[in-house]
Amino acid sequence: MDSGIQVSRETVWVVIAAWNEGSVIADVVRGVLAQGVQLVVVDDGSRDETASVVLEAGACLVKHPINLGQGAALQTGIEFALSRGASFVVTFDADGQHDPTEILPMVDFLHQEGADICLGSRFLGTAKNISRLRVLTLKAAICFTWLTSGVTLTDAHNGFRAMTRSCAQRLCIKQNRMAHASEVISRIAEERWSYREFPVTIVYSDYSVHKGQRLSGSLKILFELVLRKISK
Amino acid sequence: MIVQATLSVVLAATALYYATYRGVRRHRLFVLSGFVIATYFIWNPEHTTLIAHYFGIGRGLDFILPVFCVALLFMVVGLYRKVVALQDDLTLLSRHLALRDSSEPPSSQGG
Repeated sequence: MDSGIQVSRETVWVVIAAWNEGSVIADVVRGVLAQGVQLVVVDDGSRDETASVVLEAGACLVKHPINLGQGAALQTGIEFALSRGASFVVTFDADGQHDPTEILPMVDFLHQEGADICLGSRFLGTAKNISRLRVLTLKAAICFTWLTSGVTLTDAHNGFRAMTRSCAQRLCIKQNRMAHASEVISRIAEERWSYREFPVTIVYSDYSVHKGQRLSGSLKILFELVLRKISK
Repeated sequence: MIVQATLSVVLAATALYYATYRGVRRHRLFVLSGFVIATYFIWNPEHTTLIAHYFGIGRGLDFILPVFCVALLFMVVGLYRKVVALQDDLTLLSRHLALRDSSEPPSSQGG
């Protein structure tokens, strides 16, 4: 079992934001817990059996009374993990796109590099069943991210990321919905955190494509980022 | 005449609401000043044309409309900022409740 991982698994907390993921969350939870790490799932006002499935599968559960958005749910989960003494916090998607066996290698890489945050990259790793249009949209996001924040990445919109405790304490996600991914990168630039990228695997299934963010959502993210700026 | 009277009444009601319930003194003075100026122009629309000529615009209405649009835009931005502030408060409250009522899996509970 020991694959040379140096970090203590008990201090690694994985945070998953889930909304109406009752049909897939059990497998995701079991896959993550099989890595020996701690796990909290934030049920973001689901209307299905997500909450009960999460508890039955063995994860800690925090339940929002109303749907607030993935960004808000991740921030809630991060605060829960920090209150439980997390040394590392990992954000992970609920729809089964990510590979849980890559959690500890990513955290270990983060630890060995001495960086503040490590971002998963499907373009350094593997993206199975990804459409050409999605690739183009993601590449455009990379350009936009570089133009607005100066942060150079190969994958600017990946929900699989690991951060140190001090980074998680200062992150403070304010964007409730999907624009939080861009906000995380903006925070890297603002706080001058040292960051690394790590190759990850993303598998696009019919479920995850149907459930996931629409490509047209990119415009909505742009809108949310601009409006948040003027509302300060 | 009817339109002018109706507009004056609506403006007066709006100004009274803001003066009574809203904001700090300088905001109330601003609103009351706006009410007085707007009422004056409602009853003396030909004077808007004089002002428009000063800015090189032909008609009073052609001057008033862009000014109104800019004022409306400021109002919309102001309203949006209030909505964002409310959303932030709602998020903090929801988070507080959620963290307070968090659950452990049954397998980890002592027995």
